Amino acid sequence: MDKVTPSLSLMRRLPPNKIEQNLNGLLNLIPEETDELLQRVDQPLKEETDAETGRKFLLCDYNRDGDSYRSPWSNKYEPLIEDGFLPSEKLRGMEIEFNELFDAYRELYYEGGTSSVYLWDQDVGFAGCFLVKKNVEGDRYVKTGCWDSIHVVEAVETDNKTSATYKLTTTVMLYMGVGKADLGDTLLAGSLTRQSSL
Amino acid sequence: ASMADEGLTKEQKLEIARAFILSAPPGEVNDVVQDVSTLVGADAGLQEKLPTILQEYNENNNVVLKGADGASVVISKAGMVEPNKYKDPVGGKLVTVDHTAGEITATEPLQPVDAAAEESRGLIQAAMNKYVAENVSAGSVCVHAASASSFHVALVTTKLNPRNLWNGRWRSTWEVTVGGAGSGEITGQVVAEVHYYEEGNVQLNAQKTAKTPLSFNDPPSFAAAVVKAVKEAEAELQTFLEDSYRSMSDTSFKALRRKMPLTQTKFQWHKLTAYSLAQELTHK
Repeated sequence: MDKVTPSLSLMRRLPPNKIEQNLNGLLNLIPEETDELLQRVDQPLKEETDAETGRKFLLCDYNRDGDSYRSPWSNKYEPLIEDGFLPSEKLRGMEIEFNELFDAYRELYYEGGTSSVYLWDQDVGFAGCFLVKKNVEGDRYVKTGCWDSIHVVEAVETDNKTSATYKLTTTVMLYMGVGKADLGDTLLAGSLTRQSSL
Repeated sequence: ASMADEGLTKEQKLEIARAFILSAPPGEVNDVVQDVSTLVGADAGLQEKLPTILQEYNENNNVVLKGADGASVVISKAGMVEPNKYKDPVGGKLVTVDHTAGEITATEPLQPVDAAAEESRGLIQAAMNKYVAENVSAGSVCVHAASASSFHVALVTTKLNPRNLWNGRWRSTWEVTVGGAGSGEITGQVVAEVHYYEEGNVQLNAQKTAKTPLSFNDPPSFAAAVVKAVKEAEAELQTFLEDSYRSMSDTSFKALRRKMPLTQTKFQWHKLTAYSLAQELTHK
């Protein structure tokens, strides 16, 4: 019996400000689908600090090896592991450029926050994820807020290597608490996913 | 992990199921029940527990249940006589409901118990009916009298549009108490919930609680004071939401992500060196 479909359907109806609790509930009900659900359900990104550079980076399945996560800045795992999976030299070269570029973009639009880009080889072509996380606390207009962008791109070069096709899947997750004690407490939370190809 | 630890107990599964169902967005409780049933499986005993869970859902949300011959009742704990029997003072009926099917299955006449209580109840009900007709689109409101000095007001309206993947509900719930002569108090909350789910899941949840003293000199002015307090609280939340929508783009969202950089020009992806240099200069 397909239990993944009703799980995903539930995640589209249950309150998005409780994603972690909802997901835990689902994982408790159908532990046999843990891997599938963790892969398919978007969760707000977690952050870690790179011991070597002191810079923050974002955690996702694409930079994970066991219980460690690879920093895009130092290309080392946190906590450190000896032979964690690393991208090829060519891919790592691109990854460094992408991170620098995306970091500049992040600073201009988010004025803070953390960004990370991770690349990996596919059977044909390569893919990458572009992540941004921005937290706000105690701002004049936002009591507690969080923005998570998760962009996944698949790039496939044509056989003659003169052009490529790109497929983009973007999920933006938002949590925004706006409130004035006597006027009302408002919470806007959720995620939207959009796709496009070029 | 030992084999004996595998799997949840029936009670644990039902508790997760209950939590999921109680948090269903307006108009979607049946969809949630269906998905949850598939996940917990047939032998978890969810079917037997559904009437109780859905009773709680219906009471929490001032859900309106309908039946044949135009019968209609706002479900609230204040009107509950038995888990499946509710007072409908508006229609002068005692209604039997099926929470799982979400409908009224039978009605019988209802006699008001206390004439003095019923007089005030009737006046508040009439005043609230007028308020709802003038201010709340397709709204329902029910006033219960627990006694001549204690009343409960349940107001609700829903706008359901599952074809376009959105649903919303506005409800307010109030306790009115009369203290000494000509004075009383009304406490309660207004709640707005909206769910938009086209290729995503976005939910708005807005709440306002209010506690207002009431002063009056006869039953009609008592009813008027109740309506005035409800109207003020609902209007405040509505205004707050409307102001928020208008300014959210420039204020709240901007705190998270600007629509346009300070430079007032979109990011130029090929000019990375220019940005790096600018960054280095400003950070020194």
